[in-house]
Amino acid sequence: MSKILSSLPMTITAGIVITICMVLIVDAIGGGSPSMGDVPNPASLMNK
Amino acid sequence: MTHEYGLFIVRYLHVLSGVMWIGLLWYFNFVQIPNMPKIPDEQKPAIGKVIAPAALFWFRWGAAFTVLFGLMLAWMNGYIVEAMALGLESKLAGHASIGFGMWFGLIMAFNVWFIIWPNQKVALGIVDGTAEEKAAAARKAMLFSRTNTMLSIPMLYAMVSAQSLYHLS
Repeated sequence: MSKILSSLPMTITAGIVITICMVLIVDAIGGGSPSMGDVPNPASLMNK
Repeated sequence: MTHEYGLFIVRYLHVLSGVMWIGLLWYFNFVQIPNMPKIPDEQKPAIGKVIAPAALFWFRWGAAFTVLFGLMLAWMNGYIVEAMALGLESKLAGHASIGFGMWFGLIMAFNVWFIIWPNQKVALGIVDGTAEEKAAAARKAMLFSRTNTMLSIPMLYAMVSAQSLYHLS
């Protein structure tokens, strides 16, 4: 780990890898695409 | 003052403090640390005795106020518990996203106050230490500063995507 952190390009690459993993986890928790996010589908609201 | 304006002011102060914090973090990692070997030895005290202590003052207080205003914002928005639980209870991507950002930010602020600053005090000679202790402290502070630089990338993605992609207020 200290070898990665001693190099700035490696540090940035590691940050990008963590970001990609985080996005996948967030998507798995949310169960949907980011474009829909938490916004309710207007059609489903009209049917209520 | 309306609740909406209060939210705006706290978010504004959160961003203002955050720019101070992360701006100085990136100054250390992208400018100061890589260029220190290029500075002649007789000029190094200008950085070690003047620039770095001043930058570290604004750096650590920027971190403290970013966390303070960030936690206030999450509490005022009513999602602090759901976010800290990473959205595992609410199953909302917005809570998961802001939660990751908050946890990364808290880890980074902990590093600033309890690892980087105490070691920088030794490295810069603000507190006493042998030459070996100073070298070890400088190395440890640098590695944790780099850790924060690494974490700043997903932290900022999480913060911005919570609003822009997941429409969390």
